[in-house]
Amino acid sequence: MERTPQVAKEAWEPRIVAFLCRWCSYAGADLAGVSRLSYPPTTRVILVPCSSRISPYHITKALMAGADGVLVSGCHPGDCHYLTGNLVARRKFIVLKRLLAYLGIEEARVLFSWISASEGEEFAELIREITEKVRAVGPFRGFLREETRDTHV
Amino acid sequence: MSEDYTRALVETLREAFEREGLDRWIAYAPSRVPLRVRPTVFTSPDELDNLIFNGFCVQNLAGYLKHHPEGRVGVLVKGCDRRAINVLIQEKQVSRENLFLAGIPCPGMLSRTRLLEEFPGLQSDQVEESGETVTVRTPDGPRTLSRDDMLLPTCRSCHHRIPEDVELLLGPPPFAAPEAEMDFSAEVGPIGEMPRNQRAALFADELSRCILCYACRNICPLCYCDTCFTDVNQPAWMTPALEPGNIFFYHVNRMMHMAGRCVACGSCEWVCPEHIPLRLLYGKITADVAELFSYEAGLDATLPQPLSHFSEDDPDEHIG
Repeated sequence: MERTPQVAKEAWEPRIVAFLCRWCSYAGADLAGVSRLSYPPTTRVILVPCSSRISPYHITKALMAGADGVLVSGCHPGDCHYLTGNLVARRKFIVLKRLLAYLGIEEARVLFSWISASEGEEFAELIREITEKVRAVGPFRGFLREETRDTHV
Repeated sequence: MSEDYTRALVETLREAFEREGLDRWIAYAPSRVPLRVRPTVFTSPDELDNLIFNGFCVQNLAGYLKHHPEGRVGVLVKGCDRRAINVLIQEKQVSRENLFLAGIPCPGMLSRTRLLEEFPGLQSDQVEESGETVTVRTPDGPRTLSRDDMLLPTCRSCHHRIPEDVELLLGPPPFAAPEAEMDFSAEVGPIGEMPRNQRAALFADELSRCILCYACRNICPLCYCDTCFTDVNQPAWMTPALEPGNIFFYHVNRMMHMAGRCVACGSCEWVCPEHIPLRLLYGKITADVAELFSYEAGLDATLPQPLSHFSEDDPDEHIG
């Protein structure tokens, strides 16, 4: 997997892949946009039908392909367009999140949240917040490499 | 002592084979490879003469059911084989009515690696198990070792040695079963409390030896997908190139597939040519699923699996 060459710490901006559910979180992001709210341009949004569409494949593949952080966002519990998709996803994600933390990936790199279609301001705030979190742990330099052992803080 | 046991075992199984009109029996036969046995499908009662059971019968036999779906099949099961069969029943890969299970209270299996480290070039016929000891006949005379010390780590932490819900429960083998004095959390817990950098370094050291041979997947009794995610090329999630990203992707996703299913039989760790301590990975998943969803795999075939359903009150500490 090609990685972009290391850039100076000051010039580096986090790259966060955001998987947003079509019915709530994507609409929330849309609302943030039409409301002209400003948030850091660090996310690359990928539209998915439901947060439960996201499997550990997508999250690990995004990290493997050079993302510094991954966000998965869906409808609040009870609001899922498919009724229970987000509840199934919730179980999957907690196991994955704990596993990645156990393997030594910083917890701030893999993030989950619930954003509804009316929460434009919350979406902008979430992106500001996770951008800072990912910035704090620094660039992701790949799995199992020497360099991952002491990420600068 | 163990010869008598084997003979009695063969007779019991032969009798059951004929009485039940089984099509085949899955058990172990001697292997030419030192300190190993050969999982074997016996197709007639006469072939059973060859059957053995000793401390090297590590490989989980439930895996052979997925290749032999038809007919009525007998299986010689240890605790972990029985639990793996329960998972296969849950997933509708085998049906309980077609199985005749003969359960053997498991004495725990011996570590081939440990024995070979201590006695290079050791052959199976030099090892005699009895009671709480393992006697190794060396050119310098016999050496007696404690059976407990030679057990596989996964067997030391096993809490389900006696198979439940079997048609025929056999007598215990003439070698002692140790008490499970530890469990997965005993090893996994301290690693989880290490500083993150050390943990990353530990797994970088261990997993960077992986050669992506997929032996752990192939031996797993619960890996039966026709097309594994490792082999899919539309989309190509990963390649077999020995690149840290691929190794990591493979292990994380295989672990996620085993969440709530792994029965801790230890076959994957036992078969790994690079001796990667896979129990530390699968143990973590097992411990998490137990803690989060109060679920242990393979104990009850009628329950749904934890990652295939949900509850409204599931933990949401990870949702930011």
